[in-house]
Amino acid sequence: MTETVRSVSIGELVVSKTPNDLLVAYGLGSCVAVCAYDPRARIGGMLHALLPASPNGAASETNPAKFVREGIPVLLKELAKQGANQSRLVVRLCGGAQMLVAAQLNNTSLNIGSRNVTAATETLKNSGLRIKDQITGGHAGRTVKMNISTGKIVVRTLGQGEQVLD
Amino acid sequence: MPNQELSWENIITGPQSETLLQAAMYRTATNLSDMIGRAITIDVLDVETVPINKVFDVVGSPEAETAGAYLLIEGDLSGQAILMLALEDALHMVDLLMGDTPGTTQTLDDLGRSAIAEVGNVTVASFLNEVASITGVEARPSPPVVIVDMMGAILNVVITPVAVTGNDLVLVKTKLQETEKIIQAHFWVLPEPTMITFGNVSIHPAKVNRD
Repeated sequence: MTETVRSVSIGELVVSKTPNDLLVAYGLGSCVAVCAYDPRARIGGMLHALLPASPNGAASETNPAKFVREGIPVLLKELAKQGANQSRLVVRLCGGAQMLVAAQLNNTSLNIGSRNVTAATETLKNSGLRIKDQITGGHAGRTVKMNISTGKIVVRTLGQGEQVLD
Repeated sequence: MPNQELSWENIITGPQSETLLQAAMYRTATNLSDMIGRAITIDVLDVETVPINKVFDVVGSPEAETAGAYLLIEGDLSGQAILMLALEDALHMVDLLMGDTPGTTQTLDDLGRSAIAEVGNVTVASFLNEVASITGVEARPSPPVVIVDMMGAILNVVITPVAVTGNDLVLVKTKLQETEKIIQAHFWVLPEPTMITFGNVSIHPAKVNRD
């Protein structure tokens, strides 16, 4: 079966039930990819978020997918709309690296990766979801792929090969 | 350009931006040429506003191996700056700096990273000095940090603060060129918290052209 690559760009979320779709978030640094898959319905979704939470709050945020806290509820809503059952969702969390390690750069953006991971963990927990696997932190970029027909996740890290989450 | 109107956005997109950008890139090219010992030119190819989720359509593959020299800007106008080179071009740049035959450097070790950091420092300092001489605004760069990774991961560093309040980046596309090789370089200066990007520059010996 020929795979159709569907890029999940920065600040976007994609939900699919097309079996040959491959959802891909390329080059995650401090961003996180929240991946959720219903193995019975074979519906999956991926959120590629940059920041932990919107300064404007969910109600007035025009692009909630930029933010972990505002984006996850939208991801879950879209999955449900396409027929996924939230109680069956297998959730994986990837990304959240710290790309800059330098004491002299005292910039609030520098620890954004760990804050993204914390926000995702808390938001998923509050939604009653458990994270089955996570490949997060560190200091290297990652590309994350989700196969919609199987739910398999492949995480590629530059210079470190691939990790497969079945 | 009256001081009260000064902002990175004005410098990059305002009515005098073309003059200022060309002068800044000329000074940067001159200083890089002196540093490397080879004629280098920088062209500003285009300035465009790009939605964050489309940025890789403009700058290239997010998985491309890239070396970035990242600096914070402090002073009258704060912000951040990054010079990004394809890893292959960064290795070529190290060969030029070390006086080695092109192709000698195969990996970016500590010495190579230090060389790229210096290129980033010269580039950003030259730009800021030109901005200061034209506008009177004083700004200075922090010591550079060199990151070698996927372009997308490096870009996270500069895009993230922009995304707090906006959905677009202003990208100045640039191209660096020395006598033997065109070097794809992205030089971005971004204010905080609202970010503006510098994009395409091409380097030709001794003058800066806007296409």
